Amino acid sequence: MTRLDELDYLGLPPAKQRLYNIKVFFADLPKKCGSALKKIPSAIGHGFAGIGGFFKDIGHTFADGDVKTKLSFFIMGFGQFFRRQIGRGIIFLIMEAVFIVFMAMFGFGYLADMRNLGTVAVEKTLNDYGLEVTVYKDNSLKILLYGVLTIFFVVGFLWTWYLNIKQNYTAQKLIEEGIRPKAFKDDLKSLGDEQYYKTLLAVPLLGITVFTVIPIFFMILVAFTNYDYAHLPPESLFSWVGFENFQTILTTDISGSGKFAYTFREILIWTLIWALVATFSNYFLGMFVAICINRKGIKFKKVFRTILVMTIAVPQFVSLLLVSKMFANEGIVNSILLKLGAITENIGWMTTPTMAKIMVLVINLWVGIPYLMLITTGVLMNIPADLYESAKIDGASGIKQFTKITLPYMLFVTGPYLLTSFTANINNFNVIYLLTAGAPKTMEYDGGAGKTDLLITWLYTLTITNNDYKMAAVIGILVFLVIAVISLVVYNVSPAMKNEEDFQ
Amino acid sequence: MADVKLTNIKKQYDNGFVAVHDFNLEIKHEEFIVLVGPSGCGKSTTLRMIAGLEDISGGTLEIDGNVVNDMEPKDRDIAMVFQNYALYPHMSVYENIAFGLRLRKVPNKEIHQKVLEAAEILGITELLGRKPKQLSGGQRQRVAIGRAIVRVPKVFLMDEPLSNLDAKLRNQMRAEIILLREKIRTTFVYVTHDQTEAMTLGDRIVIMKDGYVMQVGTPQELFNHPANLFVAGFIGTPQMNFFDAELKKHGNGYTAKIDDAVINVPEYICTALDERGEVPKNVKLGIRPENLMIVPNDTPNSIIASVRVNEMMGSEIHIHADFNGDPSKKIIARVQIADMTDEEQRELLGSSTLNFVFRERTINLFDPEDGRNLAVRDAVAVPK
Amino acid sequence: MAENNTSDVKYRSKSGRERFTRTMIYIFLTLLCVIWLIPFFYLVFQAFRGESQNMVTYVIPKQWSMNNFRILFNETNFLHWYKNTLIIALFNAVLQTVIVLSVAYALSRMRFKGRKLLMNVMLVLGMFPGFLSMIATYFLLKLVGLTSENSVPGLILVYAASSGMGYYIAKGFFDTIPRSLDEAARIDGASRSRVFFRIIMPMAKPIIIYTIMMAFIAPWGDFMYASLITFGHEEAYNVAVGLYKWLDKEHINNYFTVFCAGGLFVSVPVTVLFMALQRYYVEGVTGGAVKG
Repeated sequence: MTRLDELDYLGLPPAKQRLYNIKVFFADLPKKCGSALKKIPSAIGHGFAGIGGFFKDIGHTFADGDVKTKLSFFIMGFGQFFRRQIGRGIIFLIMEAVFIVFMAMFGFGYLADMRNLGTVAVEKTLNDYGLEVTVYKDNSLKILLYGVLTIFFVVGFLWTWYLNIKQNYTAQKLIEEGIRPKAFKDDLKSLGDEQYYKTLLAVPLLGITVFTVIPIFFMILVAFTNYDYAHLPPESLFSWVGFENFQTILTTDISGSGKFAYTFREILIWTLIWALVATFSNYFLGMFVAICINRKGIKFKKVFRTILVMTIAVPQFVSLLLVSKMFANEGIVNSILLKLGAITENIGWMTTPTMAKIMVLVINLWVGIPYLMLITTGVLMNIPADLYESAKIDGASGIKQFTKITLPYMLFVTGPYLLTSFTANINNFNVIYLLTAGAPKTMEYDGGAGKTDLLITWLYTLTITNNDYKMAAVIGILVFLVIAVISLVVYNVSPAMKNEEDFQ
Repeated sequence: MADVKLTNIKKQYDNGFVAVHDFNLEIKHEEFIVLVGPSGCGKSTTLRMIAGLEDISGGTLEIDGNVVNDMEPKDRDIAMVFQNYALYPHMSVYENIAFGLRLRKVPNKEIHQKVLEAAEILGITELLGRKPKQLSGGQRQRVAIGRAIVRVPKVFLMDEPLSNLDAKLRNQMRAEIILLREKIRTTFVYVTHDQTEAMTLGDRIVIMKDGYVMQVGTPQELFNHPANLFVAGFIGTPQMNFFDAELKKHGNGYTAKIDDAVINVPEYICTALDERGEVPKNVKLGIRPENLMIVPNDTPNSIIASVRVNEMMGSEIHIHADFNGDPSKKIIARVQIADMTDEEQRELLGSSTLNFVFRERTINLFDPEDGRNLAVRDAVAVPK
Repeated sequence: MAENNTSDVKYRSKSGRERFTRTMIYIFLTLLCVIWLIPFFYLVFQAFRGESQNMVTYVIPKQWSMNNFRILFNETNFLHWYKNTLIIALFNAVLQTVIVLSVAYALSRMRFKGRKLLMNVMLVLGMFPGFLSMIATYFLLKLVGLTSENSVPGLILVYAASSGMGYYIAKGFFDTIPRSLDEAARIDGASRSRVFFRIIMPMAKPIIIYTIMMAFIAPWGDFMYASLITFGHEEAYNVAVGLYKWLDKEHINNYFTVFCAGGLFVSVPVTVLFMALQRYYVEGVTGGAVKG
């Protein structure tokens, strides 16, 4: 592809310029995607460099520290006591004590059990009366759970330990310079001021760690076990299986035993189609409705808007469940059509695969248009009016104004929104589950999946109905990878997302 | 007493960009200092470091002899007026002014008295009950100043306080700030990009470019003896004219030759040149537009220029011309016409070429390499 | 004269075209509104239908009655579910609002080491399907006994705990408040916590109401998490999980109209609340561009 220099480019007629832009975009796409993906290893590299720096830092602190600082490596809070920071010292010391007690009593045991997730699940023994009783021994689930908690506990402790020696070192340096380090009282005071963010973020981050980070870490580990209906604690154990589950789901041999892989692939494709069509159909139709409502001279703007917005308020499980029943085989839609003589037998709105797929997309418009109408209205109102005025003076028609001003502006501003909306649609549990619950089910698919199932609803079925946790975990990880790769690429290709401050 | 002392102050952002390099300044008690420079020169950053709103990356900042580098703004006993006024929109004017006193737990009676006093000084007593939204730009400006003066701070910081006002109001407020300063004797640090404001307000002016201090001095020093080409071009409107000149020693003195015109270098510059020892052969000669004087054709030692545009300002004319008819060598002359008859004025406006001579004692000579004024000691080079 | 005529015609034809376009838009929008309202009318009709409880082939009831509501309140666990959901919603409204505003303020207003990293980590965490972490969360909650019959506190924890990751809209709002206000207050002598409470909060009324509203409404519609946490314990269901069961094959013939009655009973208060505060919702979603 030959590149034009700027003046040659500007000399082209507009249509050719656009053609050229598109060509350049696609010619650059592999390179851009490549550079986006190349960032992953470099990011990992940075991560390791960070860890390396961390250890170097610790070493340096130890070498350069005085006796108090050095002793604080072993007795946390030691230095603080002797630097008149007693409050800090006590807290650190208590933490160390708690940690040592915990590790000695439970922690090491849990970590040791993590190796094989238990050896004996149940033992039949005779009790004092000579009756056989079942005694539950090792529970893989609990071992894994406690193990993960212990790991996080250790990481948290290491971080505290690092803070402890860092603070010691800073205090030491300050004293050497003749400045009195901050007293405990000042620390508390600064939590309402310079360090107020710590106060604000403490609880939210604790919540996120316990209810998001630890669970995700746990489920990533589950993906490497054989935890499923055949290995349900407490009756039986599950154990590490390495990458076996990933092999099962990604195998290319889709005959016979590869049915699961086939199901995954089909559902992945449908999920992507669904997300793409749902996002863009909502986007453009929502924009169209917004333009209609906001057109000059249209009255009752607020009435139209309010009626549409009302559907956002009604809980989806009411509206969507009801709509799904209206389109059921014996539902009201078929009944009325039969009465009117428009059809002679019931249409399988939700039971024939293709029809069902179309229907969920259409009904999703009913859900999505009001929301998009609002968002695009917001953007429309922000387009500077003088842009339109100058276009009108230049003699642009309504359609020209739309394609030359409205659309580019809209795409530019809502670019990030389109991406989030796309990923939200990949995980759009409610619409699919409440409308079809994945139906129509088919024998072609494994794992209880149906033709309209998305990965997320399949994940739900695998967990709730099939207890196939290992595969649910694998699918969850793959969904993450899909979203992460798409986001990374879009983020790097689109010009509008580079700078946080630009979008503030 | 409130001296402010900045020693080797440096500001480097996390991305490595250095906004302020090695800033040194001693501000005396009750002095009015103006920081001026084009946008992005680091003047606001410096002010914000004094305020405590930006961390100081290097050097020390002292107020009243105490190092305050790590002190929170609220503990520095300063007040600041912001460019966009930063009035609390949900509070009345009264509460806006009283807020700082309330936070300092001043008794209510005293607050009331002080707020009324400040409002009196600024003439906003009748606005005290209003919300900021109901005020005009000039009124908001007054409230912002009121909020600052009510606490009688050690240092009074102002960050482009007039730039959101229209030209007329700006002139009026400028005069009021001068009056205000008479009433509340305290130390002022004032940031602006407008050199007129700087000249009219400052006891001393600090002129900055790309994070470097170009010159510190009284308005007079800056105007008459700019330390380098940048200061020379920045201060004064229309801009100073620059010519390539050839420097020659003649007995005790020097002459500068521009084409055929020979200009005698003023004595104080000659002395400075002699002290330097090494004197460059080619220099830039700078002269302000008002110091180019029209002379009849064929006057010896005059330069000739072809007129492009005349700007009739009423009492004076700004003549834009090409030196020697060369369009790449533009010069501007500022000619007083108050004592010319209409006929003379018309004749002047109609001429296509003009001859000028230089008011010799006003010229400045600059090193063409680094831009420094050859006669100013310790002049700073213009950063590349 | 002739010239005048043509321009006149041109003018008239333009306004005629405009009138046509407008008529088309009115027709389109009216049609759209009708389609959007059909399910709600259907819901109301079915909720008050007295002759039977199954799905029927006509829309308008033959006999209007409150019978479905009587069944709903007397013969089912609906009131339990309603109470559960209401408690969850109220708690969530408080907790989530506090958490979201804290995170949004910290990230919008304060600059500290690790801020960017934190935002990126939250972004990446958000890319994992929520239900994935729910599976493990379920085991965690079970460990401390907050599932099944104790689902209400469990669900409150689940909703509130991770809500810090949804700080974007509130942060967007805070970002529009000029930073010089904070700075002026800090110079006036306020600590950051005071700035938060005395300056930012009074100005953030729209976003506070928006956050409370979203946090209150979300639990009414949640099916996915609630169905997992409350699994197998009917009294602990929330309305979504409870009503969902009535539409499966075994129940639908006896409960369809009762479902509609229940749905109506849930939707009306939520919708009324929503419509009353619609202005804040619209402002929140559109970043303040549209005053609802």
